[in-house]
Amino acid sequence: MSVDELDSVESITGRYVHVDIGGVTHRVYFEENGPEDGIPLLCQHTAGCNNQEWRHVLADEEITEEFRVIAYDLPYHGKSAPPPTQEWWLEDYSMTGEEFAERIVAIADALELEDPIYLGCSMGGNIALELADWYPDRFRAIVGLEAGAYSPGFYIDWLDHPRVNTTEVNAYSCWGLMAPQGPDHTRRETMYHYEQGATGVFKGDLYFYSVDHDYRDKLDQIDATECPLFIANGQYDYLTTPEDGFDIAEGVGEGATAIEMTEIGHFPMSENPTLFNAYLKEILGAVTGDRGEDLPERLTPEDVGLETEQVKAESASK
Amino acid sequence: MTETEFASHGWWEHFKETVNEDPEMQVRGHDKFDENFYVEIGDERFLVAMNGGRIDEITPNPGLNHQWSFGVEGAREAWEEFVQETPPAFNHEIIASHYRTAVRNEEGHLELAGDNEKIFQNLRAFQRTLDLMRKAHNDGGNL
Repeated sequence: MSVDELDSVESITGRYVHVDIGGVTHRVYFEENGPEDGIPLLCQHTAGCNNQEWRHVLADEEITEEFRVIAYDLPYHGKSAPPPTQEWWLEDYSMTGEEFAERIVAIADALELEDPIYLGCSMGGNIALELADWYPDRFRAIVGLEAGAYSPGFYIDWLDHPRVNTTEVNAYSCWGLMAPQGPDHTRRETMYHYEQGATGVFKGDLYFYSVDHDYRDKLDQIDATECPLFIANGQYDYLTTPEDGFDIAEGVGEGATAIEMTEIGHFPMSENPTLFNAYLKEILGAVTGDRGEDLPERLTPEDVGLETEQVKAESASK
Repeated sequence: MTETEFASHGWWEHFKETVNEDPEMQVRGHDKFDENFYVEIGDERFLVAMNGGRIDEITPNPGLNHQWSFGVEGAREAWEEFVQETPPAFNHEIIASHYRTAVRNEEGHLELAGDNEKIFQNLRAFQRTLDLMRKAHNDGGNL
């Protein structure tokens, strides 16, 4: 949508779906765009955040021409409020890998998605390994962004502490996860999204991310010949580096592909949407087979016909 | 800022002006950011005395008559990477650098020291102050 179309209504729609997760009904918010019979692309946000991170993928006309892009708010995130049948306020929010994977599959089931592509980032990237291990028959392909077999050290008490400004700290502890080449306003918007998380949810998600999730000795359990696994990590992601991504692909073996996304960090879809969408099209082309050749180990802006300054200039007009 | 050497007296004066004139420090830097911190570059230590989100004074080689809450330590090479207009990955921001040092045990990155509670209580203002080293170094360049 260009600047002169600011008064137009976007084609992205938002709705709620009722999802049975372990016998409890959750009212889950999701947004979607693209043809009803398009290939479902199910997008999982990062820890403590919500589906707003995916708005530039949802808005990309080239992607939504072929794919039905669906981005949901995981329970307790964004507009997916806690279930009214549960006394959720009596315990700290905390999530394990089993719970996380179950929630994702339950949402795909509730939306009756046939052979969706899973696309998740950060904690959504890490859970790609559990999904590939436990639910390979549920997905057409699994794409983990900013994924690691093990990502310790980010289960931090200060992210949910009465003596700190957790709104600001939850966001700005993530500031350095983004690459400096990204446009200013999209990097700031990424932090703005982070400032909207409910108290304790970021830390509770990080229990999965930094404590529960450890696939270092389990990568060979994953059979990626059954469901292709793609891992794409940003050059500036200090938590899960491109090297961590290559280690996953090597550990999983056949069917697993890892790439490095240069000039981008841990929040690719929101910190630098123009560059990321171009990278994503290469990955989706590999998933569908439309891309004639294998993905390179390293994608650069030049590879997708962009320059850093051009990305910043185009982004400023959106 | 090519004429002035990194971390020289003139450089610190320019940095102080940059922080004290920064509109984001005035909005989100908080007029309550009062925690002094030090910057250790190799063997040299500089105390940055904060007062209401502004820098009062920068003192080389602080001693027993001074007080501070926390600091950042690193080799001169790591700091020189940190202040580049487009810094390399993992020396581009303090939490990034600290994580690679403290959790991943890598060398060549900056590391936080001192009172963690006070670091997180003042995280954004402290982080912005450090990022402004880059702006000062590059005469208003990229952050």
